[in-house]
Amino acid sequence: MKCQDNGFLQAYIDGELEIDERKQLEEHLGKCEKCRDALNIIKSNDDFAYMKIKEYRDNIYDRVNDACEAVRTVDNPKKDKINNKKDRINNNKSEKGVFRIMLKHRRIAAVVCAAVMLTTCLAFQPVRAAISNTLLIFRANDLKSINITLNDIMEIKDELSKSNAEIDIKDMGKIKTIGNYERKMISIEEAKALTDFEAAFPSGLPNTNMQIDTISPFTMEFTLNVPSINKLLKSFGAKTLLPESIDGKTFTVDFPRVINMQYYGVEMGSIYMIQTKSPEIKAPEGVNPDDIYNSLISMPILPENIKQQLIDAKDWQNTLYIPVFDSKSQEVSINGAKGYIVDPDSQYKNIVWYNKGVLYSISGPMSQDELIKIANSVR
Amino acid sequence: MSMKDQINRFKNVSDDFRLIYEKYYRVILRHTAYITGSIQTAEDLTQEVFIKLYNAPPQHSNIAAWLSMVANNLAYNHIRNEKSRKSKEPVVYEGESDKVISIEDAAIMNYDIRQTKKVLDSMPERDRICLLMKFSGYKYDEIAEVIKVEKSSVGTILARAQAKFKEKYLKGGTFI
Repeated sequence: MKCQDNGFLQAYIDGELEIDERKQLEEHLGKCEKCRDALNIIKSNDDFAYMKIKEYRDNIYDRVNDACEAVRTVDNPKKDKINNKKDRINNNKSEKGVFRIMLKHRRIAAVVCAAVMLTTCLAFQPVRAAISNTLLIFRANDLKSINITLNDIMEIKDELSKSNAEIDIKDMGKIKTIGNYERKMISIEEAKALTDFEAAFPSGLPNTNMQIDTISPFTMEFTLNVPSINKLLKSFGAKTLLPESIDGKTFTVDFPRVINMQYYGVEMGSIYMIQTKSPEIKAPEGVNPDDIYNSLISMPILPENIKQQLIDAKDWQNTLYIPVFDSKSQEVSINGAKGYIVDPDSQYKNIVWYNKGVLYSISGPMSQDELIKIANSVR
Repeated sequence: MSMKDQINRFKNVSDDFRLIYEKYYRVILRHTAYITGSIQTAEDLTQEVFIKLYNAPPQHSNIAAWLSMVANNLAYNHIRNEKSRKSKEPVVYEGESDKVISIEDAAIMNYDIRQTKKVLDSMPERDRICLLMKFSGYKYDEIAEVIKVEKSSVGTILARAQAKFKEKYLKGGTFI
């Protein structure tokens, strides 16, 4: 046999050659270094593509499963209770709590997000930055929970199906990310040596069997397409629309470093701790955050329950809202700072608190008292 | 046929439909999501598959094979149309298109997966279908039929597509 082209070698790798072709090629490969090298390169490209595409497929399968569970959940709330608990225990490794549930109700969440993202993004205290007079900078200094129940989600779903609006999130604007999104494992020493973040540890937990990873800081830019958003707002019956003047203006959100810690070997499962500074939002010049806020909460699509909570949130510019889905939350005090226990009745609890500009969250399968004790030991 | 028979027949058909729907909905959704890269699109396509099934139940002994054939056709057509649609759409934010991500993509927190999706999206539709089919276990003759080439060309297309995939992926750099 003569030397063969890459397509033939590829077919060999994929088991697509006839038996005799295969034999001849193998014989040739034994003698020809050039073809062996070519085969190795093709094989390594193949392995690389296989690895990446398999990862991609597993991820999309997972997300589809989540989306299916969510549909089932909305259709059958009773089943949900059981599924949810199982889910929590099985999946507390991946995105936890609020974020996970948001993903489960993905489609609805996406629309709510577009609205709530802005309200949340805007819910920060304006601080005139000395560095830049052209920008308004908001940063939270308080934390509040907003309860969203399954009923609320169903109400939004109903409203959405009633409206004829063509909703395409893509038209709402664009999101651009600047900087590396990098998640990597670090040692305790490395965590302590970080210059842009002072990592705190729960001294109540032994740090012998734990693992830390960190997400490096990055920035996201949101540029709003006001006519599209207004069209959407109008179709939901909003009376106050966004001012045209902010069309095409860019909001910047700086996400500071995030530190994740996982403590293994606790009975029934692991304990997770997340810490990060609150994101900083920069609004462009000439934007009056009140206009946007008022416009968003004037949407009739928001269920009364949520709307009332938002209207009552008079101090919204100072407050970081954590949406709490279908669960109760209870206010607690951690080292003198305000926090919330999410889902105090379930086995798997989550505590969130905000202290000196840093947002902390600890979750694990344990009693409320134990959780508070661990939270209080963080320093 | 008596009225009662008719009602029974209708009942049987809709029971059958429900069973098939429950059994295959997720399988079809997963596969179309994998091919198109968007769950939202996949939901629409999967709906379409079952509407076809409901409106005109096929005389096909293997219902799973029929469903996956219909789903595949819809998904591949979607990719093809998407390309031609994209090229006709006015470019709003010129020069930044590869830095702009959709909210659905933003929900994917993993860098590797996002990068894979970005590279796949940027590849010519034929290469993309070829890669996706190969890695979900299709043989060369099946791939050849879908992308309308000779079976003997599939190896060459795959070898090039994989090399391109790796090159683009590694060059992709800093974007999240």
